[in-house]
Amino acid sequence: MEPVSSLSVNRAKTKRSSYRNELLGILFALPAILGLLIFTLGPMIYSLYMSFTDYSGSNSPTFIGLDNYTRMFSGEDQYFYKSLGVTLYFVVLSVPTGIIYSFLLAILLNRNIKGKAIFRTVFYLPSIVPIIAISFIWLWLLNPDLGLANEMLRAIGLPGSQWIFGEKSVVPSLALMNLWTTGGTMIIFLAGLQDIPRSLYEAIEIDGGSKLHKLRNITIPMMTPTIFFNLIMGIINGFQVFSQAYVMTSGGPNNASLFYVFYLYREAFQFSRMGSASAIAWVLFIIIMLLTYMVFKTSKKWVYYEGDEAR
Amino acid sequence: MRKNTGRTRLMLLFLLIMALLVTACGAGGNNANTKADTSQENNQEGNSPASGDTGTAAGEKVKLKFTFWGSPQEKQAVEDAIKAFEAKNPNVTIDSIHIPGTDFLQKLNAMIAGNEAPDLSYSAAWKLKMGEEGLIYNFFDLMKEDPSIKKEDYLQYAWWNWDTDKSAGPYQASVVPSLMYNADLFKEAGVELPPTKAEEAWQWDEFVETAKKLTLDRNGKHPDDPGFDPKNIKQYGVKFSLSWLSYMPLVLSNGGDYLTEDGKEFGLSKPEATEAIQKIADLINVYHVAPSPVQASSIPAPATALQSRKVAMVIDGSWNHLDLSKANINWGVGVLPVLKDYKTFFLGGSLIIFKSSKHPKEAWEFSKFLTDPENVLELHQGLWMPQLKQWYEDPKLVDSWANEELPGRPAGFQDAVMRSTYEHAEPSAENNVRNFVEIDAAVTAGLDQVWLGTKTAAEAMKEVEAKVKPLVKGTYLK
Amino acid sequence: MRNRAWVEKGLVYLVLVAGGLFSLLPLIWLIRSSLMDMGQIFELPPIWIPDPFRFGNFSEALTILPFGRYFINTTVIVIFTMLGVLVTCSISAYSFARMSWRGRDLVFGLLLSSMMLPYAVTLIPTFIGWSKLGLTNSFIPLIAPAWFGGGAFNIFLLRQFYLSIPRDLDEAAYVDGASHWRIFISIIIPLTRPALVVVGLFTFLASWNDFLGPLVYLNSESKYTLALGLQQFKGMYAAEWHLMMAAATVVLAPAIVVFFIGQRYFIEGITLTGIKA
Repeated sequence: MEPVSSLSVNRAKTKRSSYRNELLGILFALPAILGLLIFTLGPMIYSLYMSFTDYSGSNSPTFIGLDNYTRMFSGEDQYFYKSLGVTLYFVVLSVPTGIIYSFLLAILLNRNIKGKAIFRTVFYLPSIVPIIAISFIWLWLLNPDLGLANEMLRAIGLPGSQWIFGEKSVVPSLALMNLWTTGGTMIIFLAGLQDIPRSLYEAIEIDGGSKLHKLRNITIPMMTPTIFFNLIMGIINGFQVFSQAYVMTSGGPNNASLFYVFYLYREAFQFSRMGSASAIAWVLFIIIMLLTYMVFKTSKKWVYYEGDEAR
Repeated sequence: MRKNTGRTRLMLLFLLIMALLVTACGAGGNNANTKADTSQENNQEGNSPASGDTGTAAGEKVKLKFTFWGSPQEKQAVEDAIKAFEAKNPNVTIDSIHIPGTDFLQKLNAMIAGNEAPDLSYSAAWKLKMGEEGLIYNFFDLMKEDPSIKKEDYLQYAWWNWDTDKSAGPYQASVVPSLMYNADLFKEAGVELPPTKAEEAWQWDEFVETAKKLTLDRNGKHPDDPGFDPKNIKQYGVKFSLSWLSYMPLVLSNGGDYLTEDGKEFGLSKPEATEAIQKIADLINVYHVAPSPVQASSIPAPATALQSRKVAMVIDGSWNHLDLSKANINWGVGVLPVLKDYKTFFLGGSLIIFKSSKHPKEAWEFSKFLTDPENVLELHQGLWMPQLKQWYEDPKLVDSWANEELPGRPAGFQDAVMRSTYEHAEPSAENNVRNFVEIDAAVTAGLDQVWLGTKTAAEAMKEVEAKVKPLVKGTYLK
Repeated sequence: MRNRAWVEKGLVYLVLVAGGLFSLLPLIWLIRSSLMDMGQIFELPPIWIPDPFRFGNFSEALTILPFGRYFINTTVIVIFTMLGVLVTCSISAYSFARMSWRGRDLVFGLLLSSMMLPYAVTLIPTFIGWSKLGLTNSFIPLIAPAWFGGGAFNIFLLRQFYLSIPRDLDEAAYVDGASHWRIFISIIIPLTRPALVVVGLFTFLASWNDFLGPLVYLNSESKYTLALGLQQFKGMYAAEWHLMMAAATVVLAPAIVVFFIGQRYFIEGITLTGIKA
């Protein structure tokens, strides 16, 4: 009997101490848990509720059912489809170019190159520039009359562009600007590249495969998880572009750069329509979720996870 | 690990030094400013314990929150006026919050949402919506209790009403569309100065011809000269501000208006209006005497633009007279060019008092003070113009703000700006047209294409007409 | 064969140099313009080295608006944000990495997925919350979130670092009777100091560069940050490019300095987020 009782005492002890440990663990994580509740989950629920109301921020919210949503989708609010279109266009332009450009740079940098660290720093540097300063710089570089961009185009005999002043060219211009700040993506690719085991390449070298062969059969497949990650983040960030348009174009010309979040911002803070702005936000949320889901779905076909077989 | 610690420490030290250095540099030029701020804060602290919460009885300390916008000069002048008011009313302290114009509405909305609305504020066209929502006092109600304010004292159209008997107040001061020029450039080109009497106003063709003579490309050629390079214009003949302020006088002059006469239809798509708008666009795209929006983006504010010889004439708001008087430049004013009749308008903001104010009486007194040209006379000698009829009719009063010896009032001012507007004033679209803010947003977007030359005024305004149809709901004043 | 290798190498450098120019030219353009007068700026073909150097642009640009005040405001916000992130994020991350409690993985999963939530969704309700508390037009809405875990991204980053520390170390201490708090303070923190630097640097940059937050929350000019000041500058002095560029340079400089000081850590930090994602 003796041993049993000692065992049960032990068990009780562990139970008590594990209970204490549990509490302690929650206590340590409390800032994060509270943060999640106060700054994420709570606001989400509140926002969802607001999206069904007419609310200016100062009156008391009145429930209006789906009115905010129908106003958007019926086209009664002429800016909804416009801003959605503009934003999609920006995402379609900026995400792939950003990924291809930074992937290319990363591949080149991953070779045996002199001044690798310097190049890496140089490519990364623009992404730490405050967005407001970025906007100032490009506002001028892209000035059709006095900007450096057109000056350079003219120097090599090409016609200049209207850049951010042209209805057709404003979104591509902002996508170009976006390309300038993709240093972070490049570094993530670079890290991914360095993780590819040398042995894989050596196998191909023994078989006498070309560099292109290596790229196609090893580098790209091995990098698909990183590409996947950057693609998702690119989409999420691309949909939320705001400051450039706010500072540089005010959404113009003729609403050609009225990005979705800018539209939302205007609705909320200039027109004081918090209810409708919340509905706009939720539609964005759902669009992003759907797109992410679609990317996830297709990812099974093209993303290669190391050790998949092992699992 | 040791190595790392050392490096981190070094970094922190470096950061600290950098921060100190930058602070020192940044603060250097702003000593005066910082001091002013501290003294203001001290003041507020000194008063806050005494300022009661509800009572507004005489002698009790009252603090009013007042939000306003404006250039550094206007800010200064308003703050001076506040000091004068505080000296006269020792029980009232004005906590003035300067908010840059671009973000003003958004910031004000934020304050309202946070139950921190000011007691009174500068305001633009969005105030009417606040009136409809019951956020601000009806000026007519307040006026009834104060015999010193009479509706007929004000300029006829100086009212911001959101209904027939509900008003957000009269203009606190007015401004007008004005043609300003650099006289030296006229002299150099051998061109006669713009006329200053409405009866002698330039017909459009004369205006265009003059503008051509004042436009120079990089090689000193005029638009009609062979080999003129429209891509490299050094000096433009004229710059329109490209907002309703600048195109509406011409539209009115041609017999058009923002809405049709019955107020039931959008007026800018009618031939009289599109013709006028097209004429302005042609200055840019056909005659190359005015900068496009693109080119305008590299032209500084009017006073600097005239001074640096980037443009010879500017058609923009009369508030620029103040800046011009401070720039070292030989400038003048003329009447606007016309298509048919001479027609123009006064425009202006008004002071609104929020219903949430605990001290509406004091707010009313302060709004009266700031609205009385007498108390802000300095502002009326350059930046603003009065909104009271008497100040245009009583020679003594006229002399106090429009004397052409004043630096902000060049020769010809009384004819070219004061009389020409006073005698030919129509309502301004801004406070006359219902739903102006929303309609104007669509119009401005549509006009972008006209100024860029990708659409004609008629085409663009036709499209706008369709968009704004549900918003056209008549007028307030006329 | 040798020749081909050379050509290839040349091509690689060509692309890299072109990319490098694309990255650097705008910054060089900014700095050179900030040191020129209006006339020089527009000269064609462009001048790359100002002659003379006009340092006066800086004092002119900085005195037009109260940039000293903006600088102090920004610094206060940045410092308290960094403190908040470093303190609460390191503690929370420790809990997720080293302690076990029911629901931990669920909470961590939620945290991770909150990274994918568009900020636009929470912007409005959070704003309304702060304004009902009467705390808009203060720095609190900008600083407070940092004191609640410091953001999912930072927690994730630190957790990754903590996980890379061999468990034997703290388990030994645990057996010896050390509390979690002791282990955290005397083992984990000293070992992950570089990670904290990474988090601190990222936080510094994010806070220093933040535009939307101050735009939404700060109302009176006396509370403005540098970013808002710069935006205001644009409205008033558009087309006076030399002054605009000087003002932009002043706002940019601290970010660049901090970047160069902590360069190594930056690259490390980003690298870590990427691979394990």
